[in-house]
Amino acid sequence: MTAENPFPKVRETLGDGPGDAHRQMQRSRLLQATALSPAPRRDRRWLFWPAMAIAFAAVLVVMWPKPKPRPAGVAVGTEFSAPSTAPVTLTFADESHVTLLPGGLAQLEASDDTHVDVRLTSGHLDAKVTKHTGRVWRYLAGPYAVRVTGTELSVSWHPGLSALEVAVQEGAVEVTGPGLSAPVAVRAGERLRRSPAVTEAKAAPPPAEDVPIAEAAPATVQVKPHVAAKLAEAKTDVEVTKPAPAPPDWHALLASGNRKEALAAAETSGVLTRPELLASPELLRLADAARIEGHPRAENLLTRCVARGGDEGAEAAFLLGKLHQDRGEIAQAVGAFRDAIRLDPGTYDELASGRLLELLVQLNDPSARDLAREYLRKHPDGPWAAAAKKVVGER
Amino acid sequence: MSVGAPKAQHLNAVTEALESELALLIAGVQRRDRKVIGHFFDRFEGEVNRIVWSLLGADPEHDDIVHHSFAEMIENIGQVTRPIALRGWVRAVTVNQVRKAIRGRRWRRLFGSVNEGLERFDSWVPDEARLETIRRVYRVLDTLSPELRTVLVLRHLEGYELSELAEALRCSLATAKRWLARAEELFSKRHGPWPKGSTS
Repeated sequence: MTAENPFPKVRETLGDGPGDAHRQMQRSRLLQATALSPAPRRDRRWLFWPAMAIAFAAVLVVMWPKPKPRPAGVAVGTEFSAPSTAPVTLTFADESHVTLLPGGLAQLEASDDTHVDVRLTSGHLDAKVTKHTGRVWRYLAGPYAVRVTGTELSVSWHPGLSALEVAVQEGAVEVTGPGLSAPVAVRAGERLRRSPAVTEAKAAPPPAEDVPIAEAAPATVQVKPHVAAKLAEAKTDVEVTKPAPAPPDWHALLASGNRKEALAAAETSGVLTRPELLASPELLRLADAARIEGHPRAENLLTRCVARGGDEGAEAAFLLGKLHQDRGEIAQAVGAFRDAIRLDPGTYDELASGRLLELLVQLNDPSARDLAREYLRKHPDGPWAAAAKKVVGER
Repeated sequence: MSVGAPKAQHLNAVTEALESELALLIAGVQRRDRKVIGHFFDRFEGEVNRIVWSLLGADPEHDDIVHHSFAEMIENIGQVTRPIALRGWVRAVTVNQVRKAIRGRRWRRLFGSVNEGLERFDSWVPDEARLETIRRVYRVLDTLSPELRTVLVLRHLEGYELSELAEALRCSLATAKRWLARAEELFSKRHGPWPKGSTS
């Protein structure tokens, strides 16, 4: 007995997604994160002499006495929290700022001429610390301390899982804490993640008070080799992702959408001239990348794939037809589209027939009329139905 | 004379206008222009939210995954060489983020650190019958690999064509078709016999 299709009911029940308040919060969060992340670098060599003048002025500014970096009206010991729908930013007198993302909780633990301590009780904060003030900033998360002298960074702390993540956008920081035998330096572009083993997390007690728990830390982690080595020495359960190996792998490049680089890597490895070494799905993907990039081997690779038949052969035939059509090679395109329909009529009967019809009309081929009638019989509402009706009605 | 030429000209003009608008959007996002990023979010948040919502089923980490999807798009939008392909690329990036999340959970589930979480539907699905339907469907979806789950949901909940599935999953049409057939077969076995003719 065939069961009822459950998906229409699920579709109706699910609706279109979260409500407006959530979407507003998503928007705010994204714009806030964008404000703290640098734009791509441009060529700034023309700025050299103006930069030298500014640097000289900056030396004077550095020597000038600085006000204490405490936000106006905020006493040491003050706790601050961000509501679930919007971030909270504290700006200090020296232009340093700390942004607590929605749901976060933090406290200003110390502030004087030599140092500032901000405790992240839970959640995520982004911070920018003004350089050359002579003060040391520390971001305290659980038993960990992140020491900063002038940088842009993010810190996340999940108290229930004892999970820490530190990401540095500019400058460098040092992280100390349990299981780290020496301070670990984290530099611009690097991240450090620290959490106990999964089994330990299962046994971790829930938070003692009902504090808003911020969003989980992002999944992507990269730590440079020198950091990985130090952490390995510490023999703790620290999640480290090592950088990818140096030789480019065309599979990975293609999977991430870098077609030009993938083709260059494939050429270096020799597979472009030895397609027989590739399985059909790989050959098809490489051939399609070559077609899109206008690589001279595209036609050869696609033709090889067509010859193998099967689903991949049918798709390769369709793509070969498009390649010939783009080049104005009408007769060859007709042949390729016919191959696609022959190899997989279920998928390509509609997709290829319409294009075939267009090409046969351009060639003034008498079989266009029969094809048009057949198209209208099978696909009366298809994208080429109007064109097919014209062909049938013309003569 | 080629059949359909006037219609082709009109379509070309429409496509060119859309392409240049999308090119401006891409350039603005690359420059990190906050106003343009806001527009970019407004333009695509509906689709991104829907994809994540459907694939994961009103998940507690929904907002995180949406945020990471947009963050990755802003970081890598320079990869979009044809502006007209922007929508497909947005879908592909979002689907990739969801697949990563699903893979991570499947791994952690091996160690027993992630619970089923189907009770997340209880508070907002009032009807007992619908609640049972949705829980049953997502219980089965949770047993599928990220790829099979994605093709099944995008096809049957979001109505994607095969070509759209291939674009979203960055695979060939043949592979998408094969995955869909396998997903439907497994879903039928674990949920109940599948209505015929759904792959055409």
